[in-house]
Amino acid sequence: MTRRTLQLTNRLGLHARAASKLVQTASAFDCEAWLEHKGRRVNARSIMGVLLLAAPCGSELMLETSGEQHEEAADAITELVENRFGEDQ
Amino acid sequence: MTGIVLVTHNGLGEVIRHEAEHILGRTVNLTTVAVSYRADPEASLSELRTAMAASADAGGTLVLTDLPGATPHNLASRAAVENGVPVVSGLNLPMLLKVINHVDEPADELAGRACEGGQQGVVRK
Repeated sequence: MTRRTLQLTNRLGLHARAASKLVQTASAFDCEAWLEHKGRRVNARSIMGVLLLAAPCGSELMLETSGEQHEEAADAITELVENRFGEDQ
Repeated sequence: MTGIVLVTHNGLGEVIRHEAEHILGRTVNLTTVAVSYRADPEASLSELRTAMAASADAGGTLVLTDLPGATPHNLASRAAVENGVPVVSGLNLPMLLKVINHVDEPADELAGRACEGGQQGVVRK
């Protein structure tokens, strides 16, 4: 199992397209993935779950992955968030 | 895989598809049928039957409509019942995103997902 704290630095936070990219990334690996924000824990492979976190820029998210590819999944999700979901700002 | 058919008032289905594709960053394989207020019901029924048959995939077909009791929903239900196709009303973006995410599931299970997703999107702050 991998647990990591991620910081959202893109201007729009975890908005719809960003949430969609995160879910696609999490779903590409053979593992379970969970995100936690302000006491709310959701499946990182569920777009509605991730959207309902409504996490703005500056938020800290706790990522937890477990299963066969938990490290690869955590790395890919971390990279996505650190790259601001491919957004300019 | 289940085929998805959106049956809505006029262009609502195309608009909601466009927004879902924008969010997902890819094109989505689904069929939209726009039912006009002025359309001949028999012609619309025929169009719906064709759309449902053409969309059917291995998992069957799922129909999503915008407003229960309205003509698009009523006509879709008539066409659907002939083929045992599930119909879920109350189409919204959360419902559609959920359905697209689980499109590998058979139509009956996907209908349950549609209800769940649609309701998840109604949040009072």
